[in-house]
Amino acid sequence: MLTLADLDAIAPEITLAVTLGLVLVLDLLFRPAERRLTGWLALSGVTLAASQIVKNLAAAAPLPSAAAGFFSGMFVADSTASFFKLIFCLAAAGAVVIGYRSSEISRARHGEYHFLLLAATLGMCFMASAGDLVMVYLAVEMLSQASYILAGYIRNNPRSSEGALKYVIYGGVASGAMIFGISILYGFTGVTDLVLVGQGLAGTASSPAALMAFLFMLVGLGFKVAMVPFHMWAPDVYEGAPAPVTAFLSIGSKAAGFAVLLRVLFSVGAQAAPGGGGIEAAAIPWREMLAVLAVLTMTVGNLSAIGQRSLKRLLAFSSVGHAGYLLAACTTATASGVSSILFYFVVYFLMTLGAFHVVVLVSNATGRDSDADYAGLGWKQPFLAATMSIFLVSLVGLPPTAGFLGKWYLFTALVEMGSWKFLLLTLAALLNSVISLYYYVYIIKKMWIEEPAPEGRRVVVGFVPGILLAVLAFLTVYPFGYGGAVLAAASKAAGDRASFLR
Amino acid sequence: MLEGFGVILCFILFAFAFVGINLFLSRLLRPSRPSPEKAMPYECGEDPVGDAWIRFNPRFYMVALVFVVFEVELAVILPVTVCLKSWAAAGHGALAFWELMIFVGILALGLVYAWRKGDLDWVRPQPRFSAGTPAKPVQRENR
Amino acid sequence: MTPVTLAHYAYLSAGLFSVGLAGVLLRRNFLTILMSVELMANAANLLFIAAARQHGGEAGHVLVLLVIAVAACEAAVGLAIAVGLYRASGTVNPNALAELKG
Repeated sequence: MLTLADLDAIAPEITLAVTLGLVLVLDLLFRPAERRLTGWLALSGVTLAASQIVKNLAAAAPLPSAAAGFFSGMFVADSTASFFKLIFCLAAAGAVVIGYRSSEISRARHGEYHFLLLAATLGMCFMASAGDLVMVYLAVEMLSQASYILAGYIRNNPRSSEGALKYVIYGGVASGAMIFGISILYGFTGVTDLVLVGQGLAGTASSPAALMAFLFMLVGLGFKVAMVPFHMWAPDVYEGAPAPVTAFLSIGSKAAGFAVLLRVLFSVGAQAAPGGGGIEAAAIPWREMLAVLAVLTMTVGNLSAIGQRSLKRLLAFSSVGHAGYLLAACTTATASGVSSILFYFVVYFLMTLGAFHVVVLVSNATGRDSDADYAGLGWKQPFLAATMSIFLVSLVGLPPTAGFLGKWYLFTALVEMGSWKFLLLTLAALLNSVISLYYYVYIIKKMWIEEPAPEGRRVVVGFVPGILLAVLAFLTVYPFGYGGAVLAAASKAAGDRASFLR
Repeated sequence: MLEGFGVILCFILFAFAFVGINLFLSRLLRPSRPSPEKAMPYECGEDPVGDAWIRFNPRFYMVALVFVVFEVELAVILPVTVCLKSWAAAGHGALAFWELMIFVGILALGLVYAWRKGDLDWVRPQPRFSAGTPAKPVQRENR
Repeated sequence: MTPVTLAHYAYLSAGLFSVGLAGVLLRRNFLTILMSVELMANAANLLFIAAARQHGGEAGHVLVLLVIAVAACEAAVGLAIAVGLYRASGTVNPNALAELKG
């Protein structure tokens, strides 16, 4: 039965849903040239949702009945989920802002663009809060369907449509695998609630069927976070999609994938030890499996990024690499591991949005996406090149940038585990950071050392984008002002053990 | 074990009988004036001549899409109503009703959207492909 | 005659799933691939129904309907993108699409 507490827990989602309905109506009422204005509505809806999430997050006591989940356990509104939702809202707001002036999205189709963004954000929020296998599947699909359309958003562009088509094929296979895994779990345990499934598996966890179910689930979720070997869609989709969408997918979609991956891992993959005594590994060696996949993911991502000519493609592979670092942190299954993941996503949001914003501005001017456009940018437009350099340095993870701080916490969480396996994992991640240095510095070198191309056009930055870039760059280069507060919030959110064990 | 399949046999026989009886009845009742037009196999308004791999009018696709939306809506509403029976029994029928109404309303909004955007009009305002046509990029943004 | 148990359904559904997966991997026509994906989802549906019969309760039945609904959406979106791609490039054959490689 529906209660008021249920509605309270789901308030941010209701806000998003109402907003996206209004955006659709406004899109019908506006003339094509005005449809861009729906962005303001979308932005205010996202802001309202974010404020509701902050209210939930800041509440001293968790919402009543949070432990049992809402809507008969379908919906879990714990603070880890809320933190993730905040990241989704940031990503959506960022995509609205940098999409506002993107030349890749035609004016008449801005209403639909905002509608799809909000729909995807709604799907992400449900992913973070999914407490039931049914919700996991539906939320993942809700995000996927919206992302498919967004990826193919540039009409009459074969690349965009082709990327979207590949996304649909890979996504269909991944979701088919996931639902098959879910059906095995259901066949085994007869329940769909994540915690109950975890308990139901407790006695049978070593059986091959449980392992198979786990692997199938991992395919579906690994697809969302672009885990090797299910990352093949990422470069194609990221290159074909409009740059704002690429930024949105590489931040929001990845964060959502991790949100649901963490929950599934800790409730289905691992048997939860009651009483908050930590999370014990199940008979399925999920840590080892995940660690191997993490190392593969970061290595393949970083090695493939070398020599890419398209900036979007380069950033796509780099985001695969980042997924590898985050997967490594997932293997810890500790509160500090989860909080480092949460913190990393905040940092990742800043630097990725910044880098993609520069890509949007440059490709607005040149009408394409190639590293040649960045040659000599430092001489012509020092501001743009300087901010881009900051974002790239931060993506490598060099001090004193925010990226360094994020990686620092990730690796600390790994080292804290103490065993040699985790040290080895940390070493692999460090080596990969060195590899990533190569291709990021390649772009920086191109901007500052090479001569500008004679026919190169001047990139128009504009006032608002300039301010946004400056703020993002400042936050990236000087993380000490807010880092402590964000980390404290992240640890508080992750320390909410009820989040995974209920 | 085998008796269980007897039921299925009954179903099969009934299905055949149903079709046969209806065809027979309609034969008795209808006037019979065959013409070449009528004798053609019926294929949703398309000329059933020649290769099946012809270029279909994409309008079919749009209508099919809208149909699928409402078909799926029906498939989802049916089990929900079964579940909501217990709500109604507990005296919360109005709540259950409005919950479903919200769901239908969201779908209706989608239909209105497709309608207003002109995706339900059978005759397009302007032809999008010239005859012959390997798809040429056509600007149709301002709808 | 051995009674049909959940395990039999599980084997059948695993077989169906494999056929679907093979279809995705081996076929080169987008529509066939889409149908193969549907087959994978339906393999899961079969297992859901069988398990629901075994365990009782309506969760499995409802899940099947939801999966069907989602699969319909996926087909609709996939076909729409295919139509868009056809307009842009004149083909929907994944082999002929080599714009994005690497």
